[in-house]
Amino acid sequence: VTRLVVRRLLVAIPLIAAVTLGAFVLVDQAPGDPAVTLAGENPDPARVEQLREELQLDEPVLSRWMDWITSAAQGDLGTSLQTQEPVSDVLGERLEVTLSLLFVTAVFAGIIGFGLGIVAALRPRGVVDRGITTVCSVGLAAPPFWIGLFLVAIFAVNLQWLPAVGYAPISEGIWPWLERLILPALALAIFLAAEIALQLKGSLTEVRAKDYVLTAEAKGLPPSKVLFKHSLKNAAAPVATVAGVRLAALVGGTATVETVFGLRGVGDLAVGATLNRDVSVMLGVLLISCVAVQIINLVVDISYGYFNPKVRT
Amino acid sequence: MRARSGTSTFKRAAAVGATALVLLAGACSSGDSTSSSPDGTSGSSSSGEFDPNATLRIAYAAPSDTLDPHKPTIAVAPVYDFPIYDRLFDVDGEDNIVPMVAESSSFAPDGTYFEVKMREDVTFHDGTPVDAAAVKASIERGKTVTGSTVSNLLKGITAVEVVEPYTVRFLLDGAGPEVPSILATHAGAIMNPTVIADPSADLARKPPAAAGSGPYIVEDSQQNASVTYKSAPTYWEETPRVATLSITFVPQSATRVAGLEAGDFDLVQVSADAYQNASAAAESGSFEMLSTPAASRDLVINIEKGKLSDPDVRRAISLAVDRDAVATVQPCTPNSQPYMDNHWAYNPEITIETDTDTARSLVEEAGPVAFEVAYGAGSSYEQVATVLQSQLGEVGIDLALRPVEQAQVNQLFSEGSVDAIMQSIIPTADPILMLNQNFFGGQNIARGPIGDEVKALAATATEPGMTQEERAPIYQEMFATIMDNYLYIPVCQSTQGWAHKKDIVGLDTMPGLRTGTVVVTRLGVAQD
Repeated sequence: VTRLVVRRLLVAIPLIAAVTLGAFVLVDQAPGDPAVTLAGENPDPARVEQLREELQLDEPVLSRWMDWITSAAQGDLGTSLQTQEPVSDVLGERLEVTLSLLFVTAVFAGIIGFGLGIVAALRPRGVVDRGITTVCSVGLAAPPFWIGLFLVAIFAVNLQWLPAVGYAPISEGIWPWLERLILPALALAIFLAAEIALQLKGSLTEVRAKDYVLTAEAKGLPPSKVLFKHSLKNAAAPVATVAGVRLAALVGGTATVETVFGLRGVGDLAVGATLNRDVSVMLGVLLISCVAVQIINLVVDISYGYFNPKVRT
Repeated sequence: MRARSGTSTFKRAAAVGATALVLLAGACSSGDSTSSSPDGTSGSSSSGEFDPNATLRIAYAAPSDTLDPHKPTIAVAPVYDFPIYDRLFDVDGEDNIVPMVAESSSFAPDGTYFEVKMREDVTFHDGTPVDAAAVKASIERGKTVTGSTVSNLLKGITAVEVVEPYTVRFLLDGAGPEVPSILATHAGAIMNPTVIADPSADLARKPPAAAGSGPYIVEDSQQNASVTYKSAPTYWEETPRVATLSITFVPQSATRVAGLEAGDFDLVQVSADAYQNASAAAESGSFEMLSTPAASRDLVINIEKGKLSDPDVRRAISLAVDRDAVATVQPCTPNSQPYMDNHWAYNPEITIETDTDTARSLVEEAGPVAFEVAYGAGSSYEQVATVLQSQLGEVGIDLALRPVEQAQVNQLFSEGSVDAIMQSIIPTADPILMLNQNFFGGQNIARGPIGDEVKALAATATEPGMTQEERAPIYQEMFATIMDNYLYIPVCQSTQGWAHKKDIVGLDTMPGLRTGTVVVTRLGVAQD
């Protein structure tokens, strides 16, 4: 595991450097003047010039990136160009929202995805299986923001069971925190759950036809033991891969759902920073996203060792 | 406050469908602020007893980037700052400048200064008097503090003098009758000198209670997200107030409306993208909606560029625009000049017409006409620009569309990089501020000899000691000159909605309804 972590870290460093350099170049090449954007409406030309100097816009892009990456390596992500606050503080405020959202999403996706996948695999090609496959196909096709809008219309506006907008920190209590995350997390989780369910159904159906499972059943082991101890564990490895990849994609995909539900998370921060040309914050968000994706990939890699002991050797 | 309303099942189903469509439309569009209403009526009460213990939750379309009144980069400072800070002058619901902390005021006969006698019963929330010294410290800070975005606005005030403890004098150079309206903006916010001098005071995020003398104190704020205020223990002016006021930035109009319907908000701004569906939902009884005119949609052209310098070509452009057709794609009403008929600078004799035959013959005489218009990508101007492209094309004018970052639109026009832009000419309470911002300085719409003529007229309207009655005909003549020469092409006045629960007090007299930059300090919640 230690070697795996070290190897992952060694890969992550050049990856993060390349991604941030790419972001620098893209922002630099985008039309318009960031200093004008940051100076506000009808700005004093002197203020625009001052901002241009502060942003070092006359410096080559590579030089600006080198300055940033050197500071970032020392833990200094700079200050927000728009608000003059440390980027780490800005990110810290928003991170709780997005992490909470992703956590609840992962829990929902796991419960729904594993539940549907197991039920479908128990009677392959049956009515239930076909029904679940159809539902999952719809779940894969529907974008999360679209699902979110309908969830709001039904559960918040019509039934008024859950709030439509906003976030309550967990310090205000578990239920206030959870009730504002249920709808956005469901909106995000449905795609992931559908992916897990279909993947699990396929691999579980395959595993359940293996000799060792048939032998276990022939020996009279309880069906639940055969399923959970012998079948599910072996079927879960490919599911972990898919779930990891999709969850990593959700890290970047939270922006639309955060916008629909008025959640002030990292995705929403990224949208605002991009519109306001706040390069420091954009890079901070990018860095966080890169690290999150690397961590998810690492967890997936480690999980292989649990699901398949042969990988450990 | 999540009680269900008693609509029928059918109406409820229809409302769900409409809401889903609203939400879908909102998700596909930008979060700017414009809209309209069917009848322009509202059920909001503007009088009666209000509940001092109530909570008022507002969802607004623009964020607060800072609570420092001298440093906002977004033009919505009044929304978030006015609950905290009083000014010498205020703007009422009819866009008139009225005294606030000022008691009386006068200009020097030669126009070199403007003197204000202040009320003596106003204090900051630490008991420090709001006096001339505080005004001096505040204006000087606005002019000099690093990162000030109001220094340009205050440049006509060269110095501030304390004449007496409650009499302050503004020395002027290049500023005139518009000074009270400048002092009514966030640039004129009166801040506590002791807080200004305190380097530990976080004026951007959490101004101390003592920072201002306004009706509210900041309890919590999240930058670019929300601000929560609590009622100040005492306030000199008797006005409807609530115990807790929160303003939350929700970018999507449809999300704001859904939040109102779900009971998360009490008052929400409804922009153009969600306006029609919100109107339908309001008619079903879910909530009420006040409709008001909002930002205009104007085609601002550089009259020194190519064939646009020909007045006949500009006239052809204006004649080719079918404003009623534009109103079918976006909630708005045709307009003919910057001000509406309730303002003293409005000229009732200015009319605007559509005549495509005449436009076509003018273009034929002028030869091929082609120009480019820039606008904020994804903004509500985009829709209007697309309609104009089609309408101008019908008379032989080739209009190329150039979507750019919204913040760059003015810059491109000011530096002469584009032929025209789509934007709003926002009428300020005093026309000279709007003229300085759009026609003379900034965008410099009034160019060339016609521009000089307009500037000369404007100068005569800002001579010291002139009354509003004396200035009105001069501005009316000036707007006639602007429109006769087609210095810009007004298209239409968008309509905005304020969807709200039925017990909101004071909504229909809320200052700033015209521009969307509302002042929420006089809102309250009616007693049960």
